[in-house]
Amino acid sequence: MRHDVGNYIILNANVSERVIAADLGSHVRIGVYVPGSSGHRILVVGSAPSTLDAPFFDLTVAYKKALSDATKHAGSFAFPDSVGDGSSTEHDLEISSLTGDRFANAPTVFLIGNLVARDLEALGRTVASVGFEEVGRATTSARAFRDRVDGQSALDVITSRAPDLIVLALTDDTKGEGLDYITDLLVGGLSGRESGYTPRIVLLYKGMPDSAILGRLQAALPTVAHQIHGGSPNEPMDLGTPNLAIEDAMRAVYRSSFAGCEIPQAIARAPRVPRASALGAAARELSNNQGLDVAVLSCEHSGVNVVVARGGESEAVRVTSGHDNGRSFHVGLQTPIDRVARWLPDVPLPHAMHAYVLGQTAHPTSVPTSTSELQLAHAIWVAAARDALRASGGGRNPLDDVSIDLAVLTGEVTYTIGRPMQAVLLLINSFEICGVTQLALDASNALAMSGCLLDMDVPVMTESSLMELGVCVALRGQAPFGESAVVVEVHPEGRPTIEREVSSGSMDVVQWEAGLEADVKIWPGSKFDVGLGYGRPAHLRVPITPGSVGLVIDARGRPLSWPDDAEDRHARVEQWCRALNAYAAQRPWPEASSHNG
Amino acid sequence: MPTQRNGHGLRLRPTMDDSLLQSSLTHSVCCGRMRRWHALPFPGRILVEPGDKVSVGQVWCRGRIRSGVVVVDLPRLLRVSPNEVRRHVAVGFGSTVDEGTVLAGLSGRIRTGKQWLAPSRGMLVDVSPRTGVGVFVRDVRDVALYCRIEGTVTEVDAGEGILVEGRGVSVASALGSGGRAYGLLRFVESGEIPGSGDEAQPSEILVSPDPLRSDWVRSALEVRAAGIVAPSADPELAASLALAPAIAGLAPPDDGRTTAPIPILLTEGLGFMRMPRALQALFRSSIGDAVVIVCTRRPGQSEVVLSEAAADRVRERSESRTSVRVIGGPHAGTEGLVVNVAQDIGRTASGVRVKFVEVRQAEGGVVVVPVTNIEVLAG
Repeated sequence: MRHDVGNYIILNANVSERVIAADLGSHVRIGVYVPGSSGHRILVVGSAPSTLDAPFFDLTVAYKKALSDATKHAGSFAFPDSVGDGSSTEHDLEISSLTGDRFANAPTVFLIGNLVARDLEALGRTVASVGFEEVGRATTSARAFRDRVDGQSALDVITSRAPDLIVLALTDDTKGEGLDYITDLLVGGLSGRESGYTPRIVLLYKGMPDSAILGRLQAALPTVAHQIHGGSPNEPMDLGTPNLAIEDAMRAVYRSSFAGCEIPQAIARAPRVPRASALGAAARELSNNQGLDVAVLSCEHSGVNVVVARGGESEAVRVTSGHDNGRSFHVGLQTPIDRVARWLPDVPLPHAMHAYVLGQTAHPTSVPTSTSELQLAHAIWVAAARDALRASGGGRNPLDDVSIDLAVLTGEVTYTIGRPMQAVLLLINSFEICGVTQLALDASNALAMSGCLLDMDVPVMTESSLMELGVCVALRGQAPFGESAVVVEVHPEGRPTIEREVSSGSMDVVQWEAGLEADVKIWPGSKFDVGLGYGRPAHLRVPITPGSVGLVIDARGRPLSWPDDAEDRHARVEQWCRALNAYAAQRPWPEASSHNG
Repeated sequence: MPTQRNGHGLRLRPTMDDSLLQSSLTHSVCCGRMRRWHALPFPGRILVEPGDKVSVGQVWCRGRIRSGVVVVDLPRLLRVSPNEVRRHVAVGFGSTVDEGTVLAGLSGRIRTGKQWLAPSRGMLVDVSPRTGVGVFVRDVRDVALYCRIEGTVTEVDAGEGILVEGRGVSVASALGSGGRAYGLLRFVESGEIPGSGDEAQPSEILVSPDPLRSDWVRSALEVRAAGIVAPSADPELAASLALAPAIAGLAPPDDGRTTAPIPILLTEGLGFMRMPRALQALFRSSIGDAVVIVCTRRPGQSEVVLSEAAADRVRERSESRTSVRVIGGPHAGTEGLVVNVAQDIGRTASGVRVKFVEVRQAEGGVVVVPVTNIEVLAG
């Protein structure tokens, strides 16, 4: 990873130059950024357990604590008004951007209407630009709306996808038949259901809608109606009114996401960026700055996001355990136990995993205290990430046939990283990376905050929160277990050469003096490929530094395979972990007064 | 503040209101001013106005909800014009019919695709004379929504809900079975069952300090309790009472319900944990008071709401040291008082870096636990 060599912090930060982002998840986190050489860089992150849920339903409590924590650490450097104990009087800060697990995805919209194709596309762009994600549409460019649109099927999609907003756009409905029809469907199908699902409706109508029909719709569902102009084949629809109406709807959806909770003004008025978009922006920035293909793995309690960025474009996939507007179950609830078991040296007892998942759901801020619990936590995330990649984009894995130059781990998982090698294993196992890849850990879990600032056009040095883990050399191919797979030669500057032979199915790590650059040569066996072809040696063009773990050699082959026998499988996983010294040895439960909890 | 070292090399300092500790702690009890949003999930008539005083259990809205809704575009199905559809309706509106009954169809075409059959036992509620859209429901019932706290209505948002502000105590709970209930609180002492003695009254909220047992639940149903608050339940019982969703890849138990017989809350979660003494004391002090339990299955939303009087009693009883329970690790379920807080960050057996505190257990002895793994039980 190329680091900006001029990354010093400007002293005497002016408050007006200070930028603040917030992240709402199991913790309320306040990220304070100060100007650096080529954008803002993270200075400090203040954090406190969220109080958005029972028993408080009041975010102010956690917000003040998080702010106090940030102030304490940043001090008068970033908070000139801070007092002796580090607390600040600046509770009404300007938060430039807000992201978090609560806004994991963008609010969703379903489009219904009979616009001409040109106007329909323009409306689609408008809802996207406001920030809605379109989950479906039932539209026709023909005038005969009812004949061309299968309203019943549209209703089925709406009830299954539960969009936050439904936009009804009717430009040629002089007899009111189209509006009458869709009103009957929506009122009959959605109003007063046991599920309590109640979408907002924006009606964009050319002419005056029948007041009786509109009244019926408004009595059953929260509806706002606007007249639109244009929209004929010869006259494009004026998008001014629709744009304002959809922006209003977005604000209403945002307000309702905190319904019933007390929210600090600074949070309420801050622009929001869905977590996936924020991570996408951060990954693109990293990719552009470093000129690398970048993959980001963000593991949260409620889900896993994977973002792949290359050439200025990014692609995101996500697996989640439920609600977007609220705390969700732990992602383990959606992760099949047999897939989790593959990554564990012990078979997880179903009851143990069940209890762990529900315990983490109820107490998301608690951390695993034993090695077995930590391994279970990490195995769930790996299985979930692989599920997300497998289920993405019509079954196409965005990492297929792509070598990633830089892989980054971020999210709430960072609170559970006991050793840097655990982050390395999480990245390698989740992405099943091939070739030579740099690995980094977003130790302060600030990448999403950096991304949400970037999304608001605030220049941020995204790499300022990253910790260099090391480099992984992973081989494609298969060979019988134990056969020689690769020889790696590491030549640290001014030190003796380190040579390591690794057999098929194994992993190893080469470590050398911190900060020292080393030349690396790789000789894969004839059945293995490190990126240049089977059996072809590679010499890294640039020397590498060891980061915090060194050079990890993954000779398990690709695609990864496990022995059929369960005991052999667990022994293999145990061997991988031991070879990298990733986890502390299992210990029996400690005595009451021991230091474990 | 003087510091000392314990046997594990951690530098500790006595703490009562250590700000470092307070900012890291999660709380399961909140006492004092409360605001509770009462959402309106269906069209209904709101019966209160801003400024109104409301009490626990007071009805604030009446409305109607429908289950098993099926909407059919009958002109499309029957291939007739909308204004002809009503002529082909075969059953009366609002009459209950069995599954498979022909709701609408063309004569002479029995059992062909041009018929609408009842998807379940239920009723045809409407066929629009203008559009021909038909609506079938399994059930329609009138419902009333009641206030969860005593206080003043501060906001009324037609179509959305109301906001009530007042004073009280909220106890967050780990798991809920779905539903809400209110009633007078009755504390069923350890070893007793709800039906024993002459005290049992219908529509009470029963609180048990012991892990839930199936015979205890049966007994609670027999005395027609309104709801149950217990500390924990084993996974099988929890699943059978709809308290614990199954994880992927594991089949739910044969008798796994989708709805619980009555609203049930677990304050601690899955397992065999007893209710912490601090919570027992809180509930005992509210015996005979009107309380509300919100047993939603959405994480983080379940709570027991106690009265304003309970809030006053909690304030009077507030202790100098922080009463906590351990929520993770081998000491999960342990209750005690925080006596020391480590100044430095340490590592758990798993290697995770965290701050530690010393907790003097209620049953004796001291444990050192991560500050992230304790929860405050005081208001």
